[in-house]
Amino acid sequence: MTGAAWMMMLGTWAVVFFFAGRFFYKVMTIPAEKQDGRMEGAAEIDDISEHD
Amino acid sequence: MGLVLAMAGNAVGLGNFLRFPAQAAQNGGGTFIIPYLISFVLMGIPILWVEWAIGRHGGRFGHHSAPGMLDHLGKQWWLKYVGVFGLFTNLTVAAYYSYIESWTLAYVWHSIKGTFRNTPATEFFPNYLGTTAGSIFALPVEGLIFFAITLTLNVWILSKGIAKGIETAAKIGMPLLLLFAIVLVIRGLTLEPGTDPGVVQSSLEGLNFVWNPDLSGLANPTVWLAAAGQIFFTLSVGMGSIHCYASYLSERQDIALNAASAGWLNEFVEVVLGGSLLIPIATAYLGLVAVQEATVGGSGFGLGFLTLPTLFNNWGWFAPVAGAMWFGLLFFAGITSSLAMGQPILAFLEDEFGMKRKKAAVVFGLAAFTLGFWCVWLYAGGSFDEFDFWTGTFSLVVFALLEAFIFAWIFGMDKGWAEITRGADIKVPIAFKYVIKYVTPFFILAIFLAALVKPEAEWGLAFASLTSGEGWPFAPDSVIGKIFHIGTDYVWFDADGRATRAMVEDMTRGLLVVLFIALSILVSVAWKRKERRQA
Repeated sequence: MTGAAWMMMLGTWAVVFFFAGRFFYKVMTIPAEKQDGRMEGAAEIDDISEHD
Repeated sequence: MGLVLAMAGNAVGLGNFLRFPAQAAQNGGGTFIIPYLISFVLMGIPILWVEWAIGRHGGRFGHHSAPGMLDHLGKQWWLKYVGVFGLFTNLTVAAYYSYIESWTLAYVWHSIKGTFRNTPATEFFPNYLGTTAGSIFALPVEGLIFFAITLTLNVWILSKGIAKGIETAAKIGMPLLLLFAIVLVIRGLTLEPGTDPGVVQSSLEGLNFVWNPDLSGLANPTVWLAAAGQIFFTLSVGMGSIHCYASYLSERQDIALNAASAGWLNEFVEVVLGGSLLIPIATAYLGLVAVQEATVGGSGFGLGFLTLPTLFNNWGWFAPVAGAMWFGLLFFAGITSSLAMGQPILAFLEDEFGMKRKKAAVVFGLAAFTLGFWCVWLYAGGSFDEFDFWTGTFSLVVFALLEAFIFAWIFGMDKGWAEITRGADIKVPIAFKYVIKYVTPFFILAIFLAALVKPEAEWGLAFASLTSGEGWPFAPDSVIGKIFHIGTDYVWFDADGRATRAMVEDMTRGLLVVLFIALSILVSVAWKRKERRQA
């Protein structure tokens, strides 16, 4: 691997790790009661189908 | 957490592991990464927010598919017809995507059966697709059977309304897939010629090919279009499926963090794992030149099916288990995505035509089977690649372009920003308000126009040619070049009277145009029915 390829790969990985990790951490630290609320929408898709 | 994983599960699919590395290989390796990342920040993330916002906004008016949602963004009568793209892309991509999904299912079966012990994948796969039959009309029966099974499974799950169950299972399946991908990356990157049987080149040569930057490729608009197309494909934006999910959220539920975290998680899987897996392994077993040849001019989905069984074959007794496990998990990742594509079609039929869910699922299944059959039957004639270009790349970019303009300039950015930030669990940088209004739409427009008229030679020479009266030299891979088959011997029948690839390509395009018109008529009929009901 060339030096430029290593720099490109590690630089890109660093950016991706930083942002993915940051947002994932935020999701993980949201209070549990609010997380429950976030699933209501997904659950509704199934509720609608059950009414058919 | 659950919704983020569900959305990441939908986004993470075959595109991450198969399409991304193949697109990178096709478009200059390391060169591809630069426009890809720029496209992600300037288009991917902003469009994710726009689509989640349009979806949640449309859901308040009882619409769960794109035509109704876009209709509520302004007073213009034509907005709902822009939403037809949200049906068209989901249906067409679901059709050919289900075919790829069916390859993974077939590979599970053949891994267990031990087929790859006696038949190399490089021999098996072309036979399976029917490309070695000598006729573009030869029907690959086994491929059709696995496709029918896959689509039936999709339709069954959609008709039962157990999408949530699948998403719950995805929470177990996705980490397993990622764990297995990490194992493959480590094993793949340690392959060395002379040490490992069958290896012809160091896999690091492949990794170098993916990451070595060649800045000259940045001037090629086709590379930018491919990068933008991959961003749209992998994030499932420009399709209408995100709108559908978001339409079931309540008014004050977060969309900003949901969209950002799902998008970045998807990038982690694609760039870090997807970029380190297929090309290095394929390079090790096929050589770099063969990898470039295997992906040139097409979607490149096939590369993983040509190489990974060879890797697994060297794992002794574990080979069938590894093959079945990897392709099984890939099938699982694929089906969560194809179900998300089916959902907006069902929602459209239920919302606008009052259809019952089971009937809507059957209608979707029949339409997807008809379109998919075309891809299965005429794969050797280029129908599959036509679907991938026109629906999996071109249409996504067009729809994203139109919805970005409509959201920022017709709905209005002040209302749009309020919609994006309402109930947000993160503080969205205000700069994105201006990026969404001034950068994203024009960035997509520039890429689209450049890809439309890309010249064969340099741009300067092309303008000189135009001003000297010799006309604009369209490149064969420009959009106009593709439409008019520039650079090819354009005949529908060869000297022996046999149908050519050009004929299949034209017929495929005709089919897609007819489908788009048919969906537009459906939307028109739905709105007329609604007006009659209200009158």
